[in-house]
Amino acid sequence: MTKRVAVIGTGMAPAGTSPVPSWDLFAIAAREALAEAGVPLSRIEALHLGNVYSDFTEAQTNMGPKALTAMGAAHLIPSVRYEAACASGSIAFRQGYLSILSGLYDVVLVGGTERLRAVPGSVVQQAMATSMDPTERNAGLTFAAYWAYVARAYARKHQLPEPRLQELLAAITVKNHAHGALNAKAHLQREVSRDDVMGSPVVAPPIRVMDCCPFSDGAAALVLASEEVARSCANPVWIAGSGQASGGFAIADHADLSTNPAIGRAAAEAFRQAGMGPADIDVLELHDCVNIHEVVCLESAGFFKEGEGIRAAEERRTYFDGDCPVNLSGGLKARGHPVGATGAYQLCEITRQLRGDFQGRRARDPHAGLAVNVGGTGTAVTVTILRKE
Amino acid sequence: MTLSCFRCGACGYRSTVVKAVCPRCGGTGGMAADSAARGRILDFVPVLFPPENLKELGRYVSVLVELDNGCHAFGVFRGDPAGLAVGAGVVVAQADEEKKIPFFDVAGPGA
Repeated sequence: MTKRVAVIGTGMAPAGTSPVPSWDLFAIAAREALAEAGVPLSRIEALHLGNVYSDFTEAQTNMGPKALTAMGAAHLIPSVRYEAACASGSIAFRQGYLSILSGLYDVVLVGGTERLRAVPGSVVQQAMATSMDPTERNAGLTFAAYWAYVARAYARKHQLPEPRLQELLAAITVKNHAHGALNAKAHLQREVSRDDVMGSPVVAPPIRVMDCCPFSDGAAALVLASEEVARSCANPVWIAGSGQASGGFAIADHADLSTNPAIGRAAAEAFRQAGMGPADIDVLELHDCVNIHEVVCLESAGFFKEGEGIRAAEERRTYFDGDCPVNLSGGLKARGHPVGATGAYQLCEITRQLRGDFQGRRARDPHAGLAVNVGGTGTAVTVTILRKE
Repeated sequence: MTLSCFRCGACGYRSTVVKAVCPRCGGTGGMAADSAARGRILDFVPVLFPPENLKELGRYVSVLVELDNGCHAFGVFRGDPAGLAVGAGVVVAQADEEKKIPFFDVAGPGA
């Protein structure tokens, strides 16, 4: 592949609780992305939209045309919705990227949208459970329990007593909130202390409430363009690598829950395409739906050896001024987790970090950034690498 | 009391769910019915906020069990929590066919 594709515009609705439906949220994000790109809506040739739970939480399907109409699109361009649990937004991004690489289009709009907070939490919980294996969820496995199994497997493998494991996990939450406190688009713009985390209710031992991200409403959009178009844009950020992989669905069949080979595979593919390795990455957005998963992402993608990623936050290595800055947006924990949009937020945030205009904690002069977006019980994975010229 | 399992005739892969295509070897020759009454705990997690579909259980303990025939299965532990430990022997205490919940209990002496 010799063609190049760039991000030429980004837009994010504030994550949190939205008074408007998800399609209107996406229209807000899309208009911001178009304005940033300096292209009119009529220049967009296709829409690739990530969304997961609108069927359950808004009684709305057929989301592609719905979002297009909300944006005010008067022309009849193709639109499609992608559903891959929490990885839907980044998979929509990837499909838009591939459609330009194929030569079919020059300018496409990609992103994701979700509205979860207008319905009771029990509805969201039931909807999210459909992203798991039905036999296992019927047998009592919940998402919280799954992450507890992951944390216990990690602690057992690396001989961490549970109290020490919980301290190290709390340090990740504290770090992500410290970053998110300065992100004007974040759902939870506040710092928290280790005592706040350690004193929060236990959900499924060793996992506590504040180890977990909130459910958020939100939408994020990006304008992608071919090199021919991007060259005339002010500040393009190039897609250097895009890997995707799938993990086995049945958790009971996994030999080791403390790592995720699908992340490793997607990362290896993205690094191969980019001609880079972990040492070349200056800023990361990782899928910390529960803080132990930030560790799984760091280690499975090759940034830390197994057993070492858990200490990175406590040692401040993953802070904005550390040697491996992670989740300067606040991550899912503080920026929030609008499920089908989360991957798109990550890529907007990395783009703005690389351009130097992210409104929040910034990495020091980053040249390349990477995002890991993971859906379900580690079953849908993308790893995307962006870089400046 | 036993838990229904299925075994791939080609490679021996076992699952508590019958599958049209074996996920390990791709075999389409069908899976033979099997069952197990005992196993050992691979891991367990107390679930303090039960999901909607299991609300009537109240707080419960999720267990991942390796059955004696090699099949791995999640289920709900309903015995004395004092008996919970990784590696502890368990027996199938009940299989709720309607809700498809396997229940496990501590294996008694000699079990």
